[in-house]
Amino acid sequence: MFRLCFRYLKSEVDSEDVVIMGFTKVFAHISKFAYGGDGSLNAWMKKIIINESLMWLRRRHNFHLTESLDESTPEPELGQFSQLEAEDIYQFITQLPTGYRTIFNLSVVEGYSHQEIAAALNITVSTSRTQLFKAKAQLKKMLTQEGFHYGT
Amino acid sequence: MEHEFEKTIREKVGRAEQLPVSWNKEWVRSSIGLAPARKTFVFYYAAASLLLAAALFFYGKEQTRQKQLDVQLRSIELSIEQTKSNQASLQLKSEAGVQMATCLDPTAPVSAETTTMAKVKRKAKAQKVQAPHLLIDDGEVVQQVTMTSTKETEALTNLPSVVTPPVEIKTSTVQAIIGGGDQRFSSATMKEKKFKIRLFRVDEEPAPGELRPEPINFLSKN
Repeated sequence: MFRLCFRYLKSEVDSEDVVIMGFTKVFAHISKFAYGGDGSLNAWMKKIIINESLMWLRRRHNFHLTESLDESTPEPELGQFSQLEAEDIYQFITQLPTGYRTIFNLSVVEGYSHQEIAAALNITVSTSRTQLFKAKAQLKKMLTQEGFHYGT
Repeated sequence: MEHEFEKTIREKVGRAEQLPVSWNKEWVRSSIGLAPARKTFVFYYAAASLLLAAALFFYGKEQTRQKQLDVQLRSIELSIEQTKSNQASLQLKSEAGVQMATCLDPTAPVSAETTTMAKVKRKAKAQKVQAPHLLIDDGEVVQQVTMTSTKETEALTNLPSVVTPPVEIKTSTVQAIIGGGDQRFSSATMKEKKFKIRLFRVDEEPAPGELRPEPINFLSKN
C-alpha cells in the first residue's frame, strides 16, 4: 500500500500520512466490505488508498491544464517500455510530472477509462486523453535518453 | 497490442508493489515513543512563557496606572488645601471688617479724608472677593476657577454696625476721718458721706495686765 501511494504522490512523508488515513477509513468502514472471493479485500483496500491519494493530490495540484492536442498526431509506441524490469518501470513512472503521472497510473496501471478518470479528478475527458498522450510521449523521450531505441 | 502492453506493465507494477518495504522496527518504535513526550514538553514551555509574559505585561500596566493615580491624588490634595486656606483668609477678613464696624462711633464727626479712605477700602474688598483663583487639576487639564462672592460672604461683609451706648461712670466720694478730733475733710462734689474711718493712736505704754485697745477701728455708716 505504501508503494502504491508513493507511485501517486512521489513523497515518502505524504505517502505515510495517506496510508494511515486510508487504513483508518478501512477499519472504520470494514462493516461495509462484502467478500467476493480471493483478492477482493486487497482490491477494496487498494481502491480506498487510491481515492485517498487522489484527494490528497486534488488539494495540492491543479489538474485543469487544458492543452491543445492535434488528433492527427500518432500515439507514441511504448512496446519497449513493457520489456523493462518492474523496478525500472516504477522509477520511470515516478519521474513523470504530477498530472501526467496520475492519469498514466489511473489509465494504464489501474485500468480506468477516461470517463472514470474525468469523474474522479473532476476534469473533462479530452483533458484526460491529452494528459495520457503527453505522459506517453514523455516516457518515450525518457527511454530514448536512457538508450532504449524503438525498432533497434 | 496496446492492451497487451498495458497488461504487462500492470502485472510488473503489481509485482513490484507486492514486495514488502524494508523498515527499521527499532527506529520506528523509538520515534513513536519519543515524539509525544517532546511535543508535550514544548507545549508546557510555550504555555509557561506565555503566562509569564502576560503577567509581566499586566504588572507593568498596573504600576503605571498606580503612578498616575498617585499624581492625581497629590494634585487634588493641593487644590483642596489651597481652597481651605483661601476660605480661612476670607473668613478672617470678614471678621476683621465686622470688628472695625463695631469699633466705629456713629456719633463721632467724620472727616472727608476718612470717608474717602472708607470708599477705597470697600472697593479693594470687592475686588478681593472676586479676585481669588484656584488651580484644580482635573485629570490632565488644568482648569482655572474664579471664586465669586456668594450671598453668605456678602451678608458677612455688609453686616450693620453695632453701636454700644456710652457707659455712665458713677463717682463716689470717700470721707476719711483721721485722728480723734472732729475735723472733717470733704470734697466739693461730695453730697453724702458713706464711709468713716477712725484711727486711734495710744501713745502711753499700757500697764502690764491691762487689755490693749484695738489700734485701728473701721466704722461704716452704711
